[in-house]
Amino acid sequence: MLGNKWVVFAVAIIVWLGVFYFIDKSIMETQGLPVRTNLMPK
Amino acid sequence: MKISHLIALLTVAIALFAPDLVLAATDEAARVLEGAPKPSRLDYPVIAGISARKLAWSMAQMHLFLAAFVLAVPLFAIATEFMSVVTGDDRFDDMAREFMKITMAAYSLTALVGGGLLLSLLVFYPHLMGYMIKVFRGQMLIYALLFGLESITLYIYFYSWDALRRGNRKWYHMSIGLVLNTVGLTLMFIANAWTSFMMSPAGIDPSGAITGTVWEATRNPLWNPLNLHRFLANIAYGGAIVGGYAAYMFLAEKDPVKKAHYDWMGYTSNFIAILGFLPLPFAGYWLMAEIYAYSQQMGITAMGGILAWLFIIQAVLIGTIMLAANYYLWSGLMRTDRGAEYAKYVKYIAVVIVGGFLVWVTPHTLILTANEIQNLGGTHHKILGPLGIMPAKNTAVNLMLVFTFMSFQLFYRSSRIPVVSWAKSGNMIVVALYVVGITNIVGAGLYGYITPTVYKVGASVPQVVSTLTIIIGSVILDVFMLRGAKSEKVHWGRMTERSQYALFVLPVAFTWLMGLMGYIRSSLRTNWHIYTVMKDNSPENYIPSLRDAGNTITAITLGFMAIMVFVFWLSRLGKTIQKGTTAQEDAT
Amino acid sequence: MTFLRVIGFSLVMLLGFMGVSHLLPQVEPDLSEPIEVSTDGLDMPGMIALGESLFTGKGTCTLCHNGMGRAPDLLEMDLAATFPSRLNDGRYTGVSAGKEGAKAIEGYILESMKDPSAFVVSGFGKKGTNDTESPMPTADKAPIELTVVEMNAVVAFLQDRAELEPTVPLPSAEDAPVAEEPVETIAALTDPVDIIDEYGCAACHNLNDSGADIGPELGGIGSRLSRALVMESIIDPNAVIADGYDADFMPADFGEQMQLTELLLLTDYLMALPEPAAVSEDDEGGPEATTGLEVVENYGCSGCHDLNDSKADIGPKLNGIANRMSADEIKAAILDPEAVIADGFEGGMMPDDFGDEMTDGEMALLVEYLTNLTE
Repeated sequence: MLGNKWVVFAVAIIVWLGVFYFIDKSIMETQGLPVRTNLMPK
Repeated sequence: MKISHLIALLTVAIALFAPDLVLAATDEAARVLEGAPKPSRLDYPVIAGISARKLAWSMAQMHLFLAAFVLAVPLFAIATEFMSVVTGDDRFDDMAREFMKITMAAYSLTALVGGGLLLSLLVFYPHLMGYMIKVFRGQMLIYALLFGLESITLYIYFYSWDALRRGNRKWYHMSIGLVLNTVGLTLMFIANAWTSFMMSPAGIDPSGAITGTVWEATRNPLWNPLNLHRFLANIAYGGAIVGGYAAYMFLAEKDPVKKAHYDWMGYTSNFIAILGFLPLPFAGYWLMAEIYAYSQQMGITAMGGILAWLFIIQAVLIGTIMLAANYYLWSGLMRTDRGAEYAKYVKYIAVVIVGGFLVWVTPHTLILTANEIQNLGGTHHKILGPLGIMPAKNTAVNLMLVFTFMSFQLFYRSSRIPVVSWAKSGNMIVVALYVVGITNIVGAGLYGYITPTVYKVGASVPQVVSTLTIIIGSVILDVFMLRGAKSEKVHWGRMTERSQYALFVLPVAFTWLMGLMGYIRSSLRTNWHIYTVMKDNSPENYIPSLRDAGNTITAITLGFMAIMVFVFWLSRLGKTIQKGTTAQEDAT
Repeated sequence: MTFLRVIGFSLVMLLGFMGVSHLLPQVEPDLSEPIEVSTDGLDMPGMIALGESLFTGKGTCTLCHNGMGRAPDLLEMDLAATFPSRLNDGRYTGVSAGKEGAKAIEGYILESMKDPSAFVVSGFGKKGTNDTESPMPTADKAPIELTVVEMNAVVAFLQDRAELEPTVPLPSAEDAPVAEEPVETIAALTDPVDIIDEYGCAACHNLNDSGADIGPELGGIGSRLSRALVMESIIDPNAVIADGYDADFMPADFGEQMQLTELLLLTDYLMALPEPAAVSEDDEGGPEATTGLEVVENYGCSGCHDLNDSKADIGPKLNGIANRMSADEIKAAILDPEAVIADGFEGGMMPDDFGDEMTDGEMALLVEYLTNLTE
């Protein structure tokens, strides 16, 4: 079922990336911290 | 029949009303408009050169060790009992009973040491105790009352085990256990209120005059964080000690059947200990956050001031616990024939855990001589220095937690073969979860690394959430994947002797760790009895040096170990039969 | 057997944990009873010094006012420019809003200590309060409990940092005494004799019959100088130079090295010193020394040179000097100190009249003593 296990792996990676990105983003925003801004020290 | 109905009714009533009773009595608001006493140095009794602080410290810590154990064991005894009802497996029931047998012997000692603590406080700190009694009024009497109730239910719960073992009666028995646990937890919550009141007083004005109800004083800002922290720690601690007992019995027994039983008991106890231990850092994080919110000063005293070095020892202890727990799990892979297949991953997990451990114990600033500073080019080592700061430590801790969980998952899987059609795909999803989650933890760590302080703290939250996501995610996936799984034969008792020593590491390190945390917690008040309200002017109001604290904690731990050896010996004495006589009945 | 092995294993582990607690750096507690000292007679430099010690000590200000971003870094930022801009900040409506000058700044600082939320610098408020509530504890309430004098001292310290003349009132005898609390790692000395030992006063001043005469006689100084002037002379020795003595001899950093209670106790002690016994004529130089060590003591060499572990660093270290210089060179350097100045040291520091004061015998003893001094 669901075809080749490596295909599943690739899809899963992408889905989990989305999930974790969403988690990080919402956590950082509730803390009032910027997301996707360049914070590298000058 | 009638009597058991009566018992059931009574137990439910008490379970419902015990906490209410506490609240009801605490509602009268007596206004005592005089401040906290201000004893001067000469007001503290000096008796025969006894160090008042060391005495109260030892008594309090010893009482806490015993109480934590005595409260925790009934918690998982009733859970185990419930398991036996659900699975119909009598082994669970026997084990629950054995848990309780150890508790029984420890119980009276808990009360004894508690009395000693009370006495030493009353004798050496009469002003403080007088004031505390004014603040908490009737609650202290209720505490005594509940203590009596705890004794009664504990004895009934243990001695009615066989009388109420089968059928409906089992439920009556479990109801008694429920009352026992309710009363026990209520006792702990009350005692916690007194402790946390001393750190974050409420219900009084700045001079210490009582303005609120007892309930307000009880519900002070640090009460609930402390409740949660101690609750989880108790479970981990109780599990660790019972594990030590099982390991000792495993080593001492020759009969393979009994060896198998104690191996299984050790495994279950270790599982309970880890279960309580994994969420502890998060409870600790909450407690610390609340301390900061209550008083920034107190928070900084803990994390950046005099006590900062303590967290290096804490790291050593927790690292030791994690390594031991992992080692035990890895040894357990040998119990199944399939386990060997997983054993090849162990070395990678070991590398991560040891590596994480090393990062964690790396101090930020080193104490160096001028010459060494010159050679290093600063107080922070060029390469090692960055490992000492928070993002690196957080990353290390979270990775250690994730990989410990992985050890556990491998072990769990070693005895189960999934039969669902999508097993292979499912595995890939779990692997992907680990990969992305770990990447996220490391990524957040790097992000925190290069950004200013505020972001460093901010970035630690996603790390914690990632760890929890991995754990919860894989548990859920496993539940579905292992549905109807073929179980592999587990050879209980097929364990090395060496692995049992890992089970001794846990109680010893836990006991010492609890002693250390107690030292940190009470040191946070610096030279106050009740923070900002009542000063400690006694000659021993200072924060003892790490060395002194280490010695004292070691001495208390030794005392506790001696008590535990006595307790275990007592519980075995009960079933020892005099040589040359016949046993009336074969005890469990 | 199993029992013994298990117990042994646990013991080893316990000792290991205990060992770690011994290995880590120790913060020794201050066991001394807090002593209270009157601030009466403290002058402005004294107030500034008190303020600095409170800022890093009892006041615990540096816990947050540091480079970690918890609160404005008062020790690093340009206060001279910052204070006026704060008073003119549109959101500031406190006692000194819109005013200017040192007095207004005094009001602003005092207000921020007593009521930290009166004005919160943007970005430093409690989370979620939009900078309307400060996380800072009130300085005159528990657990900090600064007294009025202590808060004034902190203001003086900050005004001084902002290059302003401090405007706070000086303490009087009625003010509450200050008690230095054991906040820091180093315990303050509580016995004036220990303080004199620690800071080596007797090496240059004639104190407790040390006979040194590089600095002025301290006996009976209470009848010659006010308490404030004595204190000032310790903190800022070059402000007033006694007749017949040279500037720059006394280290100027005692103010930073001493803890406040030490300074106050030392001043009290000095003020109470009796007049020295009448100086007899032949006391000039005292009885002639008979050993090299006596010469060293009589002429106070170790007050400036690191000699027999005196740790002084105004002049070069003398232990092991024979590895660097011959006996003749040593003698020449004593007679004419300015001829050759060692690397890393300044000229003009060492008295050039030792040649006149010492007898030839003493000089010989001294040179021999120094030549044989091992590292």
